[in-house]
Amino acid sequence: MQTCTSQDLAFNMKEWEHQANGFREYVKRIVASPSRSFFVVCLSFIGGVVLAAFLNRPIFEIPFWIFANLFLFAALIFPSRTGKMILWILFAFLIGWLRFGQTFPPSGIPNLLELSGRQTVIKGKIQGEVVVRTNNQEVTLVNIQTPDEPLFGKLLVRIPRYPTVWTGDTLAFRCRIQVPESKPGFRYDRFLNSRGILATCSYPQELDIRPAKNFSFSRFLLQGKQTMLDTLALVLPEPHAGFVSGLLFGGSQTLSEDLRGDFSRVGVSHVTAASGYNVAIFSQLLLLWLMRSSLGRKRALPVAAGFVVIYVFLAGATAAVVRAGIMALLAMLGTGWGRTPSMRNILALTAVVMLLLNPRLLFDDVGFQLSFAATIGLVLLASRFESLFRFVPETFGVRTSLAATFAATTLSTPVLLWNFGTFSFIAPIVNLLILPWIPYLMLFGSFAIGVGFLSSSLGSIVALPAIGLSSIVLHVVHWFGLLPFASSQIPFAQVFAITSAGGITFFLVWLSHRPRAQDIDV
Amino acid sequence: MTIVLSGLCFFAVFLFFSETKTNLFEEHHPLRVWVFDVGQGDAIFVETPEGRQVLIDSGPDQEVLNKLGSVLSPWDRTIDDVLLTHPHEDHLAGFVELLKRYDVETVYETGVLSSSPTYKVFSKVVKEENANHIFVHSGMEISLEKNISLRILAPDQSLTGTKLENLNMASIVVELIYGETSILLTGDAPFEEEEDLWADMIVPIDILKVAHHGSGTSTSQHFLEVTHPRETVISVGEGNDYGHPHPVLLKRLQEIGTHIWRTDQDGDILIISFGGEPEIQSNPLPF
Repeated sequence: MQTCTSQDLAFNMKEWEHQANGFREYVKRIVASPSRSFFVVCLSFIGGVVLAAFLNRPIFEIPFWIFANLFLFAALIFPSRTGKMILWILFAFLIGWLRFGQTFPPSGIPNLLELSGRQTVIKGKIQGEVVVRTNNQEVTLVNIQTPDEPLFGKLLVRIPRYPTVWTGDTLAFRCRIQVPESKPGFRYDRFLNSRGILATCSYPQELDIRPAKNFSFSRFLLQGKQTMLDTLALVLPEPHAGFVSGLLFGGSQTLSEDLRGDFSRVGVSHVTAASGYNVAIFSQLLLLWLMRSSLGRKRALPVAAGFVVIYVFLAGATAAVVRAGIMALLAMLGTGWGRTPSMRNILALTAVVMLLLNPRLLFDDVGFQLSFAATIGLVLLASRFESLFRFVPETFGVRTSLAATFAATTLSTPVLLWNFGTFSFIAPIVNLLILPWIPYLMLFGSFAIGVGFLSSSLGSIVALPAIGLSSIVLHVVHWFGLLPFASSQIPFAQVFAITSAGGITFFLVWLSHRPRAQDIDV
Repeated sequence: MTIVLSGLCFFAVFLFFSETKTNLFEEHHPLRVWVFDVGQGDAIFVETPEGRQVLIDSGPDQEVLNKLGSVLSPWDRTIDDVLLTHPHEDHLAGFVELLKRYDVETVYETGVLSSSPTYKVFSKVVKEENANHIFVHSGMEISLEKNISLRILAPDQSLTGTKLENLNMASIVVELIYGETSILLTGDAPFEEEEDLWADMIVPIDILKVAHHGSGTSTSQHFLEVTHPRETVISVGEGNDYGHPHPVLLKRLQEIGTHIWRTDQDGDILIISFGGEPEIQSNPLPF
């Protein structure tokens, strides 16, 4: 057994004091900088969501709401900066926690789960976009009603491919209600729950479709999108029409199962699922164009912002798309104010806004996790990697793409391992090979749509470059998908996920303490 | 950048010709028949030497559009004739999108009644397409070009407006004839429909598209003995729920010593004929 001499103790005390001083310094630095304080408050909100998700049960909320209000009030009037900051942190934490609690089905109101396994007559209205697959349509119903009573929760219904239904239509049918179950490698139940869907039903009988009568803006937008997709389908043959429409508006449901399998095996599914990348390209091109137009810089920004919001809606408003949309809006806001907010704070605020809207995204939507992981990777690592890859030529932006690909892959790997248990060794190569062509494809594709509106035969000639490029990209994905080692099932994947996440965090912390010449504050 | 982009486009053109086995420098173009791998269903595409295009059935979903996109020139949005053997989903569903996207001149079917919602949508788009709509039965012949014709062998009477318990019984059976080449396409015809087929046929035939995805209740022993196909093609989906092709049928085929091609194993199948002995090969398209 070790003994502690008084000398040791004195030394330890000094060490401790030294560390305490260091910590105090650290806190002071945070408090002194509004940007850092803001970041910490955002993190605290996320912390609240994390805690609530781990407890995963509703709490008796009223006293906590009172506390939250008290904290807010005190934070507003408290004299000292440090005190204010602590109160803001506590407030944010409680709000995160309470917000998560609100996502549980309210007790005392009958909900869809009560019908689980029962055959019943149901009526509901289609909300959001109808997902059209090659052999069926998938709709989310709200305002669910049985002959006896209205029910809480949304219902996901799969109906035959024809006749076509639209958002806003009311469906009535008889169906067996099923509670979604977790699938291997995909927590389907939790994913659906995160979108407020409590139950599903497939191929209902006695389906009666009552078209919507009232005008709705979302229906109008979606019909506009459908017109563009129809035009695209006239000027581009399949599978290119499906692929390019996926790039422009998300949703690759019309691609064949084999091809979608290839995309996922070689680790480039994000391209077809309307990723943040597409939104970023869209908003940048749009802004560039608007700023040069007669609108002028000042007026271009709100117009561009409006278009980004519409685009996010049209692209299916998946987590990745919303993430990119909010980030684009915040960046525009910053430009409008004449300030450049740090990337770190833009990311943090984006996460807070998204989790305020739906706190379940954090743990139940892999798209949310992947999108943030990849973006954090880009923000923290891309420029570092770029200086590492000095041996790679800079032609066609190869070095930048390579660094970006590796940066995004590094951080998304633990998420992929944890959720899917797979790892694609060739993903960085395939990403590198196809990503440079995506902006061109989007550009040629939109151009073809534009010309196709005027004349479809002229459109199909204008579309030729898009067809050629799309063909090359799809071939690359197909060829790499043929490789037996394209994607590997990793044993003990979740252990690897945690270890790699730990390793990466350690690496990032180490990096942040390591100054370098062209350091930029992120 | 422009150079790289154009280079890629040229590469794409090269891929197109190599994958569809098209030889631009050939003096005489062959008759090409594709039995597409569209999963559990039928979609057979015929292109004559002079470029007349016929699609017989369209598979269970939009997969046929991917296949056509791979074999047609990128600007080609016309198909001369489409033929629906019978209004079952696995032969019909692809037509709806196809008719919206491609300009079709003539639609052939039996006109047998069907209550399927897809068939209703199909009838609607056929009307909108403004195509010739022709109801066929045995004894009719669709001449594609000189020496090439589609002879309708079944159903043996007009079924327009009739209701049938088993729609497979309404299957159109056609024989594609080009010089000495004969290819028999049997839709989903069951035993009962086969009985009176061979009376009108030139036997033996070269290639048989086995009826009903290789079901045990089609393609009888007797039928095989009479028609004696040198090669047989089964259009069937991998791991389908029906257990197609049925082992009993496979045994029947093996017994007559015919070579068996299966879309679930060989992918897309291409038949090439210059009017003599046809050549058949597995030629999986990339998409």
